[in-house]
Amino acid sequence: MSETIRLGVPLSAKNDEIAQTNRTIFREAGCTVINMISSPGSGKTSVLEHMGKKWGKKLGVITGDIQTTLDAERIAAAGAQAVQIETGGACHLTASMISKALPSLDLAGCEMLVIENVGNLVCPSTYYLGEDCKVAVLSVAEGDEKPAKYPALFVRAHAVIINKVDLLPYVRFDMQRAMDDCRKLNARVKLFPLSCTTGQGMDAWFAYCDELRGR
Amino acid sequence: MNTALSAAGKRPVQKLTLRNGALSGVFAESLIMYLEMISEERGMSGLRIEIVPEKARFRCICGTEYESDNFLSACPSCNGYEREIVAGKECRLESIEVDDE
Repeated sequence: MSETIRLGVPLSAKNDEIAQTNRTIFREAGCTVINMISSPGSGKTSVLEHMGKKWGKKLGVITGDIQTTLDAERIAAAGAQAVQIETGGACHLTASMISKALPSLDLAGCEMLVIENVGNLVCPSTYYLGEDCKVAVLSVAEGDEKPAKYPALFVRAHAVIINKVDLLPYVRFDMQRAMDDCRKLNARVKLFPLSCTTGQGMDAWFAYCDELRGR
Repeated sequence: MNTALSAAGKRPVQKLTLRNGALSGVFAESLIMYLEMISEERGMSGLRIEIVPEKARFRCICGTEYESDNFLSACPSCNGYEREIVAGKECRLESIEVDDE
């Protein structure tokens, strides 16, 4: 004879528990947290450089890469607080990695923390890190079908930055299709077409960040 | 696996049943491979593993609840997209089967 025991435990339970602890720390520090997710080369770090120039040390960034500290160096040079996590192979950040990186930041002086996830449109979307919102970055050079192809990220993203719009004359990218698909996957998504090269659209993104920070 | 073992107490675990949402990001075949490796390491060879796929379930503001594999599909009642996802984002250890001594 056998007995069935109902459990209903998510496989992410351990990660979620650490993420909740992170969230409590963020709340106590009064810090708004974005989990920024995209494919490699979409321009996350360039967006963060713009933000660093505007907010200086009030912006904290935890940046994840498989190898090198290049991104943290760029973001620190722009004026923000920056901590690099080298995952050594892992294709996403976990709540535990964030927890270990937190002591390297002055969270009390930080109004906004951006966790720049490892460049990958798949796994990072399913790991909760304790953030207030997820922001996807999609560059026009990647193609307008990416939201449709990677729904797990785009259904979860509160906002989508459509980056490198200065390249629109040179690449095949149907902006309307990309935006429509983003809205189909999440009707409440906020969309920010912008260019880090020309600065176009950056003010709208900054205004959204101010809104998130309650300012 | 630890959750399963502690729920089983001293009774041997015969089977794990997992429910994998279409938006969980978990690849069932890989999960089975890892669970089999762990179970063999722990002397539980012969453990049966079942992963039940779960479709994404949406609740539209018109009140309709529907399931779909196509995340770009509109609500079948009102053709709209103002909906929330009520299931399919998680992979859960649903139940375990243990020897009832």
